[in-house]
Amino acid sequence: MTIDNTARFERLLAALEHELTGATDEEILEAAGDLGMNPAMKGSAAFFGVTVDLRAKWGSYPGQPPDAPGGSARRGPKDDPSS
Amino acid sequence: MPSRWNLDHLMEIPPELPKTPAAQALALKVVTGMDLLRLKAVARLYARGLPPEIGWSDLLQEAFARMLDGSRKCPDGLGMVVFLSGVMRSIRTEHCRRARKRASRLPQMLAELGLADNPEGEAGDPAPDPEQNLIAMQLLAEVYRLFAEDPRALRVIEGLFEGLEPEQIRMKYDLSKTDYDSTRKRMRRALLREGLRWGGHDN
Repeated sequence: MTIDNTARFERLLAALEHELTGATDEEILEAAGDLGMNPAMKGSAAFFGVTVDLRAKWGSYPGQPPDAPGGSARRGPKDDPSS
Repeated sequence: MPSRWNLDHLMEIPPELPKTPAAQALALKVVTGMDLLRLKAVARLYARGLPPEIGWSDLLQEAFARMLDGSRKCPDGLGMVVFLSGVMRSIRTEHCRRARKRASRLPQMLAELGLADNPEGEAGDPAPDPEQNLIAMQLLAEVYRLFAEDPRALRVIEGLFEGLEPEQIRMKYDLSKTDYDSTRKRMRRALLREGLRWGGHDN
């Protein structure tokens, strides 16, 4: 295969980045609403991993004990606990 | 649905949590809360395909840390969100380059350990790597899955992957400007949902 798919994929990511950086506040709030999140609320789950580093405190995210069988300190639940 | 364990665990969260570089930037009013969410979505996008030990929050916090310690300066006239996205892109490139370098050294290391026969000419080979190409296609498939129920979005993704400009994508797939714009709006919503969802720092 002579086509460099890695470079093409990076180009795609850059185009999608452009979409995200250009998203309006309204679009962000709508998407958060779809997930049952309210970023205006203090302690909103939308900011976990952003303004709150729970991993540094416990070595894991809520929803998974650090010593969970088969889990690592980097895994967390897929579901939004607020929904 | 939260389990009893989740609720118990959340109730144990102490009032004093470690402050992240992103939180510091917010306190300094360098960015807004909405900017943080834009950047969270970008971080999740750029964490795709990174080595498993690097998660989206690492990417995000590292970009903020570099901005705060002055090792990366936002050029005049460039928005902070665009700037920090660019920093995350460059951190991603650094990680990918390092991972490729490690992989290219493997045959030589195996030969030195007497575990392989032919290390000649393998290390640092700049030719397109079939394995990397395959990984890129798997990552592309993951992106496709985000838009699986939106055929127009899949066409736009395909066009972007081929490096087409918006006008060329519209021509190729016979999309009106309205169709194209509304497709991009749906794509943004899906990307934001994916970027904001609850989850660990690496997925």
